[in-house]
Amino acid sequence: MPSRIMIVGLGLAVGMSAGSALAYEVYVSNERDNTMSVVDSETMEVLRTVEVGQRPRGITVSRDGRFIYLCASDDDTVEIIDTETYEIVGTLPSGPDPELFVLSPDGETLYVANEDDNLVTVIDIAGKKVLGEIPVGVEPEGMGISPDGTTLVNTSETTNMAHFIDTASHENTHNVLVDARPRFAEFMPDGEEVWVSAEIGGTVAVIDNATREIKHKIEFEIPGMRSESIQPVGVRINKDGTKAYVALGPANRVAVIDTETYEVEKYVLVGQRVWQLAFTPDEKYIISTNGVSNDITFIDVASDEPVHSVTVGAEPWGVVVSPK
Amino acid sequence: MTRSLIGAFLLTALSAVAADPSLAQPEQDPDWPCIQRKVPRLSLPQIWTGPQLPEATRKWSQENENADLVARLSQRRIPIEEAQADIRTFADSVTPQDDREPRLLMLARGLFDRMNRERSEVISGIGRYARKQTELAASLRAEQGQIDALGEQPDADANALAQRTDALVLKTRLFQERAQSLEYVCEVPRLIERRLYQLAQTIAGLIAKEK
Repeated sequence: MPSRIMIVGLGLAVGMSAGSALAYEVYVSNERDNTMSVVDSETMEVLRTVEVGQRPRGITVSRDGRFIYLCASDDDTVEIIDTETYEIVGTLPSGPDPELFVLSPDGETLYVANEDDNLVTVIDIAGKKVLGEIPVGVEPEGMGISPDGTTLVNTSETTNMAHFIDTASHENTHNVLVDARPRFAEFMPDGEEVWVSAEIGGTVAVIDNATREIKHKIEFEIPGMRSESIQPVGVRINKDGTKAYVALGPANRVAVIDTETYEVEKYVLVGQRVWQLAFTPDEKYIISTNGVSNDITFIDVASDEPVHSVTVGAEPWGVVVSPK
Repeated sequence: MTRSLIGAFLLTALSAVAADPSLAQPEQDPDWPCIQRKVPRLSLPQIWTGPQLPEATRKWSQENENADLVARLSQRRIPIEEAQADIRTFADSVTPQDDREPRLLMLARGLFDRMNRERSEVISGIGRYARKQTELAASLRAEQGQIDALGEQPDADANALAQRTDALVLKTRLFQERAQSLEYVCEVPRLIERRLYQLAQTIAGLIAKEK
Protein backbone atom coordinates (compact mmCIF):
# COMPACT_ATOMS: atom_id res chain seq x y z
CA MET A 1 0.00 0.00 0.00
CA PRO A 2 2.64 2.60 0.95
CA SER A 3 4.54 1.68 -2.21
CA ARG A 4 1.46 2.41 -4.33
CA ILE A 5 1.14 5.80 -2.80
CA MET A 6 4.80 6.40 -3.45
CA ILE A 7 4.43 5.44 -7.08
CA VAL A 8 1.42 7.69 -7.54
CA GLY A 9 3.27 10.47 -5.78
CA LEU A 10 6.30 9.94 -7.98
CA GLY A 11 4.13 9.94 -11.09
CA LEU A 12 2.66 13.26 -10.07
CA ALA A 13 6.04 14.75 -9.37
CA VAL A 14 7.40 13.60 -12.74
CA GLY A 15 4.27 14.85 -14.50
CA MET A 16 4.56 18.23 -12.85
CA SER A 17 8.24 18.69 -13.52
CA ALA A 18 7.75 17.73 -17.17
CA GLY A 19 4.84 20.17 -17.41
CA SER A 20 6.76 23.08 -15.93
CA ALA A 21 9.98 22.49 -17.89
CA LEU A 22 10.09 25.88 -19.55
CA ALA A 23 6.66 25.57 -21.08
CA TYR A 24 5.52 28.89 -22.42
CA GLU A 25 2.21 29.84 -23.89
CA VAL A 26 2.22 30.76 -27.55
CA TYR A 27 -0.52 33.17 -28.60
CA VAL A 28 -1.53 33.24 -32.26
CA SER A 29 -3.96 35.67 -33.91
CA ASN A 30 -6.09 34.02 -36.60
CA GLU A 31 -7.06 36.73 -39.07
CA ARG A 32 -9.87 34.90 -40.84
CA ASP A 33 -11.92 33.28 -38.08
CA ASN A 34 -11.58 35.99 -35.42
CA THR A 35 -9.92 33.81 -32.83
CA MET A 36 -6.70 33.54 -30.89
CA SER A 37 -5.09 30.13 -30.39
CA VAL A 38 -3.18 29.37 -27.20
CA VAL A 39 -0.50 26.72 -27.78
CA ASP A 40 1.79 25.04 -25.23
CA SER A 41 5.41 25.46 -26.34
CA GLU A 42 6.52 22.10 -24.93
CA THR A 43 3.66 19.74 -25.81
CA MET A 44 3.04 21.82 -28.96
CA GLU A 45 -0.68 21.31 -28.56
CA VAL A 46 -3.49 23.83 -28.80
CA LEU A 47 -4.63 24.49 -25.23
CA ARG A 48 -7.59 26.65 -26.16
CA THR A 49 -9.15 28.86 -28.79
CA VAL A 50 -10.40 32.27 -27.69
CA GLU A 51 -13.03 34.29 -29.57
CA VAL A 52 -11.74 37.81 -30.20
CA GLY A 53 -12.66 40.89 -32.24
CA GLN A 54 -12.80 41.13 -36.00
CA ARG A 55 -9.72 40.54 -38.13
CA PRO A 56 -7.15 40.01 -35.39
CA ARG A 57 -3.61 40.72 -36.64
CA GLY A 58 -0.89 42.37 -34.52
CA ILE A 59 -0.44 40.67 -31.14
CA THR A 60 1.88 41.28 -28.21
CA VAL A 61 2.04 40.58 -24.50
CA SER A 62 2.75 42.76 -21.46
CA ARG A 63 6.25 42.45 -19.97
CA ASP A 64 4.88 40.57 -16.94
CA GLY A 65 2.79 38.25 -19.11
CA ARG A 66 -0.51 39.24 -17.49
CA PHE A 67 -2.16 40.76 -20.55
CA ILE A 68 -2.23 40.16 -24.27
CA TYR A 69 -2.75 43.16 -26.53
CA LEU A 70 -4.40 42.33 -29.83
CA CYS A 71 -5.18 44.51 -32.86
CA ALA A 72 -8.79 43.81 -33.84
CA SER A 73 -8.30 45.64 -37.12
CA ASP A 74 -11.90 45.68 -38.35
CA ASP A 75 -13.21 46.72 -34.94
CA ASP A 76 -10.79 49.67 -34.88
CA THR A 77 -9.57 48.76 -31.43
CA VAL A 78 -6.82 47.03 -29.47
CA GLU A 79 -8.23 44.38 -27.15
CA ILE A 80 -6.74 43.55 -23.76
CA ILE A 81 -6.97 39.85 -22.90
CA ASP A 82 -6.28 38.52 -19.41
CA THR A 83 -3.88 35.56 -19.68
CA GLU A 84 -5.38 33.89 -16.59
CA THR A 85 -9.03 33.95 -17.63
CA TYR A 86 -8.57 34.47 -21.39
CA GLU A 87 -11.33 37.04 -21.25
CA ILE A 88 -11.29 40.37 -22.97
CA VAL A 89 -11.00 42.71 -20.03
CA GLY A 90 -10.73 46.01 -21.86
CA THR A 91 -9.75 47.89 -24.96
CA LEU A 92 -7.25 50.57 -25.88
CA PRO A 93 -8.10 53.57 -28.10
CA SER A 94 -6.07 52.54 -31.11
CA GLY A 95 -7.41 54.75 -33.90
CA PRO A 96 -8.81 53.22 -37.11
CA ASP A 97 -7.63 49.91 -38.59
CA PRO A 98 -4.77 49.04 -36.26
CA GLU A 99 -2.59 46.45 -37.95
CA LEU A 100 0.65 46.12 -36.12
CA PHE A 101 2.16 47.66 -33.02
CA VAL A 102 5.19 47.59 -30.78
CA LEU A 103 5.46 47.80 -27.02
CA SER A 104 8.05 50.15 -25.50
CA PRO A 105 10.89 48.34 -23.69
CA ASP A 106 9.46 49.47 -20.32
CA GLY A 107 6.10 48.02 -21.31
CA GLU A 108 4.21 51.25 -20.61
CA THR A 109 3.58 52.62 -24.08
CA LEU A 110 2.11 51.00 -27.15
CA TYR A 111 2.85 52.41 -30.61
CA VAL A 112 0.18 51.43 -33.11
CA ALA A 113 0.30 51.67 -36.92
CA ASN A 114 -3.08 52.77 -38.28
CA GLU A 115 -3.16 51.50 -41.82
CA ASP A 116 -6.12 53.58 -43.01
CA ASP A 117 -5.25 57.07 -41.82
CA ASN A 118 -1.47 57.21 -42.16
CA LEU A 119 -0.80 57.73 -38.48
CA VAL A 120 1.09 56.11 -35.67
CA THR A 121 -0.96 56.33 -32.47
CA VAL A 122 0.90 56.48 -29.16
CA ILE A 123 -1.06 54.93 -26.30
CA ASP A 124 -0.45 55.09 -22.58
CA ILE A 125 -1.46 51.58 -21.51
CA ALA A 126 -2.10 52.23 -17.81
CA GLY A 127 -4.22 55.31 -18.49
CA LYS A 128 -5.76 53.80 -21.65
CA LYS A 129 -5.37 57.13 -23.37
CA VAL A 130 -3.85 58.49 -26.55
CA LEU A 131 -0.65 60.42 -25.91
CA GLY A 132 -0.13 61.47 -29.50
CA GLU A 133 -0.66 60.85 -33.17
CA ILE A 134 2.32 60.96 -35.50
CA PRO A 135 1.71 61.46 -39.23
CA VAL A 136 3.73 59.02 -41.35
CA GLY A 137 3.66 57.68 -44.92
CA VAL A 138 0.79 55.96 -46.69
CA GLU A 139 -0.38 52.66 -45.17
CA PRO A 140 1.87 52.42 -42.12
CA GLU A 141 2.59 48.90 -41.03
CA GLY A 142 5.90 47.66 -39.63
CA MET A 143 6.88 48.89 -36.17
CA GLY A 144 10.22 48.50 -34.45
CA ILE A 145 11.61 50.16 -31.34
CA SER A 146 15.22 50.61 -30.29
CA PRO A 147 16.26 48.65 -27.18
CA ASP A 148 16.67 51.94 -25.25
CA GLY A 149 13.18 53.01 -26.30
CA THR A 150 14.27 56.34 -27.79
CA THR A 151 13.74 55.57 -31.47
CA LEU A 152 10.70 54.15 -33.15
CA VAL A 153 10.80 52.96 -36.74
CA ASN A 154 7.60 52.72 -38.73
CA THR A 155 7.43 51.47 -42.30
CA SER A 156 4.84 52.68 -44.79
CA GLU A 157 3.71 50.12 -47.34
CA THR A 158 2.90 52.53 -50.17
CA THR A 159 5.41 55.32 -49.57
CA ASN A 160 8.12 52.63 -49.29
CA MET A 161 9.88 54.32 -46.41
CA ALA A 162 11.21 53.56 -42.98
CA HIS A 163 10.27 56.56 -40.80
CA PHE A 164 12.51 57.20 -37.79
CA ILE A 165 10.60 58.79 -34.93
CA ASP A 166 12.01 60.32 -31.77
CA THR A 167 9.84 58.86 -29.00
CA ALA A 168 10.42 61.82 -26.69
CA SER A 169 9.27 64.52 -29.10
CA HIS A 170 7.08 62.34 -31.36
CA GLU A 171 8.88 63.97 -34.29
CA ASN A 172 9.60 62.11 -37.49
CA THR A 173 13.32 62.85 -37.79
CA HIS A 174 14.51 60.72 -40.74
CA ASN A 175 12.92 58.93 -43.69
CA VAL A 176 14.83 56.16 -45.41
CA LEU A 177 13.63 54.94 -48.80
CA VAL A 178 13.59 51.15 -48.97
CA ASP A 179 12.28 48.62 -51.50
CA ALA A 180 8.62 48.17 -52.35
CA ARG A 181 6.07 47.45 -49.64
CA PRO A 182 8.12 47.46 -46.45
CA ARG A 183 6.43 45.26 -43.89
CA PHE A 184 8.47 44.95 -40.75
CA ALA A 185 11.21 46.68 -38.76
CA GLU A 186 13.43 44.95 -36.22
CA PHE A 187 16.31 46.48 -34.24
CA MET A 188 19.51 44.64 -33.44
CA PRO A 189 19.77 44.07 -29.67
CA ASP A 190 22.66 46.61 -29.49
CA GLY A 191 20.51 49.19 -31.30
CA GLU A 192 23.08 49.79 -34.03
CA GLU A 193 21.07 48.46 -36.95
CA VAL A 194 17.43 48.26 -38.02
CA TRP A 195 16.40 45.52 -40.41
CA VAL A 196 13.48 46.39 -42.68
CA SER A 197 11.81 43.78 -44.88
CA ALA A 198 10.28 44.70 -48.26
CA GLU A 199 7.57 42.29 -49.37
CA ILE A 200 7.40 43.20 -53.05
CA GLY A 201 11.02 44.30 -53.34
CA GLY A 202 12.01 40.89 -52.02
CA THR A 203 14.80 42.31 -49.86
CA VAL A 204 15.76 43.20 -46.31
CA ALA A 205 17.46 46.56 -45.89
CA VAL A 206 19.95 46.84 -43.05
CA ILE A 207 19.88 50.48 -41.90
CA ASP A 208 22.65 51.97 -39.80
CA ASN A 209 20.91 53.60 -36.85
CA ALA A 210 23.72 56.15 -36.39
CA THR A 211 23.78 57.50 -39.95
CA ARG A 212 20.20 56.44 -40.86
CA GLU A 213 21.47 55.11 -44.14
CA ILE A 214 21.21 51.70 -45.73
CA LYS A 215 24.49 49.88 -45.17
CA HIS A 216 23.51 46.57 -46.74
CA LYS A 217 20.68 44.96 -48.64
CA ILE A 218 19.98 41.27 -48.21
CA GLU A 219 18.60 39.40 -51.19
CA PHE A 220 17.14 35.93 -51.31
CA GLU A 221 17.48 33.22 -53.87
CA ILE A 222 16.00 29.76 -53.68
CA PRO A 223 16.88 27.35 -56.50
CA GLY A 224 13.88 26.74 -58.77
CA MET A 225 11.78 29.42 -57.07
CA ARG A 226 10.38 32.38 -59.01
CA SER A 227 11.52 35.64 -57.47
CA GLU A 228 7.95 36.94 -57.11
CA SER A 229 7.23 34.09 -54.69
CA ILE A 230 9.91 35.31 -52.30
CA GLN A 231 8.22 37.97 -50.17
CA PRO A 232 10.04 38.88 -46.93
CA VAL A 233 7.70 39.86 -44.09
CA GLY A 234 8.39 39.09 -40.40
CA VAL A 235 11.94 39.53 -39.06
CA ARG A 236 13.35 38.44 -35.70
CA ILE A 237 16.91 38.66 -34.35
CA ASN A 238 18.15 36.58 -31.42
CA LYS A 239 19.22 38.14 -28.11
CA ASP A 240 22.96 38.00 -28.74
CA GLY A 241 22.46 39.49 -32.20
CA THR A 242 24.15 36.69 -34.13
CA LYS A 243 21.27 35.22 -36.10
CA ALA A 244 18.31 36.72 -37.90
CA TYR A 245 15.21 34.93 -39.13
CA VAL A 246 13.12 36.27 -42.00
CA ALA A 247 9.70 34.91 -42.96
CA LEU A 248 9.45 34.70 -46.76
CA GLY A 249 5.67 34.63 -47.36
CA PRO A 250 4.60 32.37 -50.25
CA ALA A 251 8.14 30.95 -50.59
CA ASN A 252 6.92 28.93 -47.56
CA ARG A 253 10.32 29.24 -45.95
CA VAL A 254 12.11 31.07 -43.19
CA ALA A 255 15.59 32.35 -44.06
CA VAL A 256 18.28 32.05 -41.40
CA ILE A 257 20.88 34.81 -41.73
CA ASP A 258 24.30 35.28 -40.19
CA THR A 259 24.16 38.90 -38.96
CA GLU A 260 27.94 39.25 -39.24
CA THR A 261 28.21 38.38 -42.94
CA TYR A 262 24.55 39.02 -43.94
CA GLU A 263 24.67 35.67 -45.72
CA VAL A 264 21.62 33.41 -45.78
CA GLU A 265 22.76 30.19 -44.14
CA LYS A 266 19.61 28.19 -44.60
CA TYR A 267 16.07 28.22 -45.88
CA VAL A 268 13.73 26.28 -43.60
CA LEU A 269 10.51 24.98 -45.15
CA VAL A 270 7.68 25.56 -42.67
CA GLY A 271 4.18 26.01 -44.13
CA GLN A 272 2.33 28.13 -46.65
CA ARG A 273 2.52 31.96 -46.62
CA VAL A 274 4.87 32.45 -43.70
CA TRP A 275 3.96 35.74 -42.08
CA GLN A 276 5.29 36.53 -38.59
CA LEU A 277 7.80 35.00 -36.21
CA ALA A 278 8.40 34.85 -32.46
CA PHE A 279 11.10 33.31 -30.29
CA THR A 280 10.35 31.48 -27.08
CA PRO A 281 12.05 33.49 -24.26
CA ASP A 282 14.70 30.76 -23.82
CA GLU A 283 15.31 30.90 -27.62
CA LYS A 284 14.93 27.15 -27.89
CA TYR A 285 12.37 27.64 -30.65
CA ILE A 286 11.32 30.26 -33.12
CA ILE A 287 7.71 29.91 -34.22
CA SER A 288 6.28 30.91 -37.60
CA THR A 289 2.67 31.60 -38.55
CA ASN A 290 1.69 30.02 -41.87
CA GLY A 291 -1.41 31.80 -43.16
CA VAL A 292 -2.43 29.52 -46.03
CA SER A 293 -1.71 26.12 -44.45
CA ASN A 294 -3.44 27.34 -41.24
CA ASP A 295 -0.66 26.19 -38.96
CA ILE A 296 2.32 27.35 -36.96
CA THR A 297 5.75 25.72 -37.14
CA PHE A 298 8.26 25.32 -34.32
CA ILE A 299 11.83 25.64 -35.61
CA ASP A 300 14.57 24.33 -33.33
CA VAL A 301 16.98 27.28 -33.03
CA ALA A 302 20.08 25.15 -32.29
CA SER A 303 19.72 23.06 -35.45
CA ASP A 304 17.44 25.35 -37.50
CA GLU A 305 15.31 22.32 -38.32
CA PRO A 306 11.52 22.48 -38.33
CA VAL A 307 10.41 20.19 -35.53
CA HIS A 308 6.64 20.34 -35.52
CA SER A 309 3.68 22.09 -37.14
CA VAL A 310 0.44 22.64 -35.25
CA THR A 311 -2.89 23.41 -36.91
CA VAL A 312 -4.44 26.54 -35.38
CA GLY A 313 -7.34 28.75 -36.57
CA ALA A 314 -8.01 30.15 -40.03
CA GLU A 315 -5.19 32.25 -41.47
CA PRO A 316 -2.80 32.61 -38.55
CA TRP A 317 -1.21 36.07 -38.76
CA GLY A 318 0.66 37.20 -35.64
CA VAL A 319 2.43 35.32 -32.87
CA VAL A 320 3.83 36.17 -29.45
CA VAL A 321 5.10 33.99 -26.62
CA SER A 322 4.45 34.53 -22.91
CA PRO A 323 7.55 35.83 -21.08
CA LYS A 324 7.27 33.19 -18.35
CA MET B 1 -34.01 63.05 -55.45
CA THR B 2 -33.98 59.53 -56.85
CA ARG B 3 -31.28 60.43 -59.33
CA SER B 4 -29.00 61.98 -56.77
CA LEU B 5 -29.49 58.91 -54.59
CA ILE B 6 -28.52 56.67 -57.48
CA GLY B 7 -25.56 58.94 -58.09
CA ALA B 8 -24.41 58.47 -54.51
CA PHE B 9 -25.05 54.74 -54.75
CA LEU B 10 -23.03 54.53 -57.95
CA LEU B 11 -20.23 56.63 -56.52
CA THR B 12 -19.92 54.29 -53.52
CA ALA B 13 -19.96 51.25 -55.77
CA LEU B 14 -17.35 52.68 -58.12
CA SER B 15 -15.05 53.85 -55.37
CA ALA B 16 -14.23 50.17 -54.87
CA VAL B 17 -12.48 50.35 -58.23
CA ALA B 18 -10.64 53.55 -57.34
CA ALA B 19 -9.40 51.98 -54.10
CA ASP B 20 -7.81 49.11 -55.98
CA PRO B 21 -4.65 48.50 -53.94
CA SER B 22 -2.70 47.37 -56.98
CA LEU B 23 -2.75 50.94 -58.36
CA ALA B 24 -0.38 51.94 -55.59
CA GLN B 25 2.18 49.40 -56.79
CA PRO B 26 3.20 50.25 -60.36
CA GLU B 27 5.25 47.08 -60.73
CA GLN B 28 2.10 45.02 -60.25
CA ASP B 29 -0.41 44.05 -62.92
CA PRO B 30 -2.81 47.03 -62.92
CA ASP B 31 -5.77 44.74 -63.67
CA TRP B 32 -5.10 42.52 -60.68
CA PRO B 33 -7.95 43.16 -58.25
CA CYS B 34 -7.07 40.90 -55.30
CA ILE B 35 -5.42 41.89 -52.02
CA GLN B 36 -3.10 38.89 -52.32
CA ARG B 37 -0.07 39.70 -54.42
CA LYS B 38 -0.29 38.16 -57.88
CA VAL B 39 1.95 35.12 -58.26
CA PRO B 40 0.94 33.86 -61.73
CA ARG B 41 2.61 30.48 -61.43
CA LEU B 42 3.83 28.36 -58.58
CA SER B 43 7.39 27.07 -58.39
CA LEU B 44 7.98 23.46 -57.45
CA PRO B 45 10.08 24.27 -54.33
CA GLN B 46 7.06 26.09 -52.87
CA ILE B 47 5.28 22.81 -52.35
CA TRP B 48 7.91 20.10 -52.69
CA THR B 49 10.79 19.15 -50.37
CA GLY B 50 11.04 15.47 -51.26
CA PRO B 51 13.69 13.96 -53.54
CA GLN B 52 14.34 15.73 -56.83
CA LEU B 53 11.76 14.87 -59.48
CA PRO B 54 13.50 13.06 -62.35
CA GLU B 55 12.96 14.12 -65.96
CA ALA B 56 10.95 10.95 -66.58
CA THR B 57 8.20 12.17 -64.24
CA ARG B 58 7.20 14.73 -66.90
CA LYS B 59 5.52 11.86 -68.72
CA TRP B 60 2.99 11.40 -65.92
CA SER B 61 0.04 12.03 -68.22
CA GLN B 62 1.00 9.10 -70.43
CA GLU B 63 0.47 6.63 -67.62
CA ASN B 64 -3.25 6.04 -67.47
CA GLU B 65 -3.47 5.06 -63.84
CA ASN B 66 -1.38 8.03 -62.81
CA ALA B 67 -3.31 10.48 -64.97
CA ASP B 68 -6.63 9.24 -63.56
CA LEU B 69 -5.40 9.55 -60.01
CA VAL B 70 -4.06 13.07 -60.65
CA ALA B 71 -7.42 14.08 -62.12
CA ARG B 72 -9.30 12.67 -59.13
CA LEU B 73 -7.05 14.03 -56.38
CA SER B 74 -6.96 17.53 -57.80
CA GLN B 75 -10.74 17.94 -57.54
CA ARG B 76 -11.55 20.22 -54.63
CA ARG B 77 -14.94 18.59 -54.05
CA ILE B 78 -13.16 15.47 -52.78
CA PRO B 79 -12.34 16.06 -49.10
CA ILE B 80 -8.61 16.38 -48.51
CA GLU B 81 -8.55 13.54 -45.97
CA GLU B 82 -10.10 11.25 -48.57
CA ALA B 83 -7.57 12.31 -51.21
CA GLN B 84 -4.69 11.75 -48.78
CA ALA B 85 -6.05 8.28 -47.96
CA ASP B 86 -6.23 7.57 -51.70
CA ILE B 87 -2.53 8.40 -52.02
CA ARG B 88 -1.67 5.96 -49.23
CA THR B 89 -3.81 3.24 -50.83
CA PHE B 90 -2.12 3.90 -54.17
CA ALA B 91 1.36 3.66 -52.60
CA ASP B 92 0.47 0.36 -50.92
CA SER B 93 -0.82 -1.06 -54.20
CA VAL B 94 2.43 -0.49 -56.12
CA THR B 95 4.54 -3.63 -56.49
CA PRO B 96 7.36 -4.43 -56.52
CA GLN B 97 8.23 -2.10 -53.66
CA ASP B 98 11.15 -0.62 -55.64
CA ASP B 99 8.65 0.93 -58.02
CA ARG B 100 6.92 2.79 -55.22
CA GLU B 101 9.16 5.86 -55.07
CA PRO B 102 9.31 6.49 -58.84
CA ARG B 103 5.53 6.15 -59.07
CA LEU B 104 4.99 8.52 -56.15
CA LEU B 105 7.40 11.04 -57.67
CA MET B 106 5.47 10.84 -60.89
CA LEU B 107 2.25 11.46 -58.97
CA ALA B 108 3.82 14.51 -57.30
CA ARG B 109 4.85 15.92 -60.70
CA GLY B 110 1.40 15.23 -62.14
CA LEU B 111 -0.37 17.02 -59.29
CA PHE B 112 2.01 19.96 -59.48
CA ASP B 113 1.63 20.36 -63.26
CA ARG B 114 -2.13 19.97 -63.31
CA MET B 115 -3.00 22.05 -60.26
CA ASN B 116 -0.48 24.75 -61.14
CA ARG B 117 -2.06 25.03 -64.58
CA GLU B 118 -5.54 25.11 -63.10
CA ARG B 119 -4.43 27.83 -60.68
CA SER B 120 -2.90 29.89 -63.52
CA GLU B 121 -6.16 29.61 -65.46
CA VAL B 122 -8.07 30.88 -62.44
CA ILE B 123 -5.66 33.81 -62.17
CA SER B 124 -6.14 34.69 -65.85
CA GLY B 125 -9.89 34.42 -65.25
CA ILE B 126 -9.67 36.83 -62.31
CA GLY B 127 -7.84 39.29 -64.60
CA ARG B 128 -10.61 39.08 -67.21
CA TYR B 129 -13.26 39.43 -64.51
CA ALA B 130 -11.59 42.56 -63.18
CA ARG B 131 -11.29 44.10 -66.66
CA LYS B 132 -15.01 43.49 -67.26
CA GLN B 133 -15.78 45.19 -63.96
CA THR B 134 -13.73 48.22 -64.98
CA GLU B 135 -15.57 48.39 -68.32
CA LEU B 136 -18.92 47.98 -66.58
CA ALA B 137 -18.01 50.79 -64.17
CA ALA B 138 -17.19 53.08 -67.11
CA SER B 139 -20.48 52.29 -68.88
CA LEU B 140 -22.47 52.88 -65.69
CA ARG B 141 -20.79 56.25 -65.24
CA ALA B 142 -21.58 57.18 -68.84
CA GLU B 143 -25.21 56.10 -68.45
CA GLN B 144 -25.54 58.14 -65.25
CA GLY B 145 -24.20 61.17 -67.12
CA GLN B 146 -26.72 60.74 -69.93
CA ILE B 147 -29.63 60.33 -67.52
CA ASP B 148 -28.55 63.48 -65.69
CA ALA B 149 -28.40 65.42 -68.96
CA LEU B 150 -31.79 64.09 -70.03
CA GLY B 151 -33.38 64.96 -66.70
CA GLU B 152 -32.29 68.56 -67.01
CA GLN B 153 -34.21 69.04 -70.26
CA PRO B 154 -37.60 70.67 -69.65
CA ASP B 155 -39.41 68.47 -72.24
CA ALA B 156 -37.88 65.19 -70.96
CA ASP B 157 -40.06 62.09 -71.32
CA ALA B 158 -40.69 61.15 -67.69
CA ASN B 159 -41.52 57.54 -68.58
CA ALA B 160 -38.36 56.98 -70.60
CA LEU B 161 -36.30 58.62 -67.86
CA ALA B 162 -37.82 56.34 -65.21
CA GLN B 163 -37.16 53.27 -67.36
CA ARG B 164 -33.52 54.17 -67.90
CA THR B 165 -33.09 54.95 -64.23
CA ASP B 166 -34.54 51.57 -63.25
CA ALA B 167 -32.26 49.81 -65.70
CA LEU B 168 -29.25 51.66 -64.26
CA VAL B 169 -30.19 50.66 -60.70
CA LEU B 170 -30.35 47.04 -61.79
CA LYS B 171 -26.99 47.18 -63.57
CA THR B 172 -25.40 48.88 -60.57
CA ARG B 173 -26.68 46.12 -58.31
CA LEU B 174 -25.17 43.56 -60.66
CA PHE B 175 -21.89 45.44 -60.53
CA GLN B 176 -21.92 45.37 -56.74
CA GLU B 177 -22.73 41.69 -56.57
CA ARG B 178 -19.87 40.96 -58.92
CA ALA B 179 -17.54 43.12 -56.81
CA GLN B 180 -18.54 41.14 -53.72
CA SER B 181 -18.03 37.76 -55.35
CA LEU B 182 -14.58 38.89 -56.45
CA GLU B 183 -13.49 38.55 -52.85
CA TYR B 184 -14.39 34.84 -52.98
CA VAL B 185 -12.89 34.36 -56.43
CA CYS B 186 -9.60 35.81 -55.15
CA GLU B 187 -9.52 32.99 -52.58
CA VAL B 188 -9.53 30.22 -55.21
CA PRO B 189 -5.80 30.32 -56.10
CA ARG B 190 -4.88 29.90 -52.47
CA LEU B 191 -7.38 27.05 -52.03
CA ILE B 192 -5.69 25.22 -54.89
CA GLU B 193 -2.28 26.05 -53.45
CA ARG B 194 -3.25 24.75 -50.02
CA ARG B 195 -4.62 21.49 -51.44
CA LEU B 196 -1.57 20.94 -53.63
CA TYR B 197 0.72 21.49 -50.64
CA GLN B 198 -1.23 19.04 -48.48
CA LEU B 199 -1.15 16.37 -51.20
CA ALA B 200 2.55 16.93 -51.91
CA GLN B 201 3.38 16.72 -48.20
CA THR B 202 1.53 13.41 -47.98
CA ILE B 203 3.57 12.03 -50.87
CA ALA B 204 6.86 13.33 -49.46
CA GLY B 205 5.96 11.78 -46.09
CA LEU B 206 5.35 8.37 -47.68
CA ILE B 207 8.67 8.51 -49.54
CA ALA B 208 10.52 9.49 -46.36
CA LYS B 209 8.89 6.54 -44.58
CA GLU B 210 10.05 4.12 -47.28
CA LYS B 211 13.66 5.06 -46.63
